[in-house]
Amino acid sequence: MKPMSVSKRLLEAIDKSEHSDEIKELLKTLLFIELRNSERGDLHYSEEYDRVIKRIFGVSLQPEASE
Amino acid sequence: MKIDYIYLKNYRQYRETRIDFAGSPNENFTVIEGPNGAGKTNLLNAVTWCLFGEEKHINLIKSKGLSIINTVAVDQAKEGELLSVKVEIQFLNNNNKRIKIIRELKYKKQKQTTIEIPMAHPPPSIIFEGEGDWSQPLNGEEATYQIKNLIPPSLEEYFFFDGERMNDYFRDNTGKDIQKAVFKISQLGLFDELIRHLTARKNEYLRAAKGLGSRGKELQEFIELQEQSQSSDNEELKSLISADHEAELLDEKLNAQLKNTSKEDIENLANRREQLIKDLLSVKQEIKGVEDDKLEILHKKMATILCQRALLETKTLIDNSRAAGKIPPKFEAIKS
Repeated sequence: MKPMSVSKRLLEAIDKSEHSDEIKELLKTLLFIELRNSERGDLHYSEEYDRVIKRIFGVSLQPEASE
Repeated sequence: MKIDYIYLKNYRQYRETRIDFAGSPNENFTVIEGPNGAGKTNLLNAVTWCLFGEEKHINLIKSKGLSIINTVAVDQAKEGELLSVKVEIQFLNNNNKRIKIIRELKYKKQKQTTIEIPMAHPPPSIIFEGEGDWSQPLNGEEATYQIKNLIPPSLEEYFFFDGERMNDYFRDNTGKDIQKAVFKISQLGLFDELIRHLTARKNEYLRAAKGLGSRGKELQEFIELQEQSQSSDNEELKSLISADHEAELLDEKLNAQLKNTSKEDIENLANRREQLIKDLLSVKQEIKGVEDDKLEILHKKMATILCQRALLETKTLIDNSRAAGKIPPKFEAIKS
């Protein structure tokens, strides 16, 4: 079964926005995650969000444990 | 997306009918009219049955116990004969490509009036028109999935409106269902979830950052210093890049000029330069000669130049005295 895809209009609206390329990529990737999770009924998102943010921005926003 | 035509075969009161919908830009409105029992509501039922396998507009009292198959067709069929109920809807999408959805239910006549009961929800099939030709038909679950993508069942009431049930459409729940369905099909709900989840992640980061205490503050100051340094470095880099660019342009210009200059031209220019230097020396010598001459003349005529005024005054005095008869006239005047 073919998976549903994020609406082209939403993706075009993101592309036309004045955000940086990183933010655009972030929004598009997170939309795909939200769509897939809504299809699967999956409520877990934290780790995926952190992973995407780390991949796109090259840094982890998860604070390091204090010494 | 719009309906191009609906084809019905042995579906309730329709033996075999094709209804073509108006599709031209000037005539794009189709009215279905007829007396009670003509099949207006069943046309809507045929649509929802074809798409979703369910007659959503059925009048439960009138249709109770009646089979979906046309009763006249059953009466006229012989024992053992296969009969089919078929609804075919052709849509045109926004690119004017055709999408055909078909649902067919087969029956077998057993005795004079009884028929074999087929499966309750036969699978539909869907065919898409590609660039050149029709695609392979999709059947069963895959077709059902594609149809739900095209027309979500929750939006069915929005597209296929039964005027006879007008009051039902304005119930609060129906309005909310349609609102929810529009939200879902437009995927705006995804953005809501995205914003909610991003906000949750941000709040969690902020909570964790507070726990860092003085170390966090030090890190923040360090980052600010780094950012300032980076900013000034960027400015310097920009000016260097600009200077480099200008130098490159000048270099290119000079190279272009050199490329366009032949050896002969260079020799000619060198010779001309040499000649011009000689000419310059010659002119300088001439100027010196003229200046020398000027000085010599000045030396020779110096006494005359210095006494010029006294001589002129003396002459005036003599002329005046002569005119007054104080001194004798000029020799030439006496002679004449």
